[in-house]
Amino acid sequence: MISDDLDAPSFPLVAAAKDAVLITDAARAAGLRLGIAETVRERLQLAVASGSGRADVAATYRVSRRHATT
Amino acid sequence: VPDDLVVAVLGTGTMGAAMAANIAKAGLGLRVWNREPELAAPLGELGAVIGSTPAQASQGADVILTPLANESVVGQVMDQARDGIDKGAAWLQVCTVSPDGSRRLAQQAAQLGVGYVEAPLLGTKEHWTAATYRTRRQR
Repeated sequence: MISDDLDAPSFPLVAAAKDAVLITDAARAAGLRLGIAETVRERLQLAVASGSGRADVAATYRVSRRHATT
Repeated sequence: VPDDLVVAVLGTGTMGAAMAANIAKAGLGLRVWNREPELAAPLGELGAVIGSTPAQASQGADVILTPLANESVVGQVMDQARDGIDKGAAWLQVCTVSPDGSRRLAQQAAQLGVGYVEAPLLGTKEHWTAATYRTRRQR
């Protein structure tokens, strides 16, 4: 993450986003709203939408950097 | 595991390439296909037969693995593999899908005439390379 060397993924971000959707969808179908998991889903999907889907899941930090306010 | 077992790996991305390499190193027959052929090509050096279509890669395989992106892709690729799949082959479905998705794929397996084993894997490239991944405990 320090050198942003995330192009050879140990686990692709897009796969993590897919799994986060499966988890939160299953919870929603059971009437549960998983607060943190919902946020994780949103963050991973933002990262995919901004072009980091094939990078390692750690590249989700790029979303935090972009949303930094200070 | 019989020595002459042939395994087809449909999808050689992060997970599939590592699993395929271990299958070849274990001395099993290996056939592979990937949508982007350049990702499958290096497996040729390990003795893999590289199919240009899912059907070609599935020919003569006893076991078919689907380390692919999601349920939709798994379903499409297995449909494309249809004409190459031997009746009686076992489909080890390793992509994590929803419970409903698993039931849909099991139906597809029945239509294809193959056995269906849901075997989603937990791990990262390091686990898949070292062959220390785990399948989820089935109820």
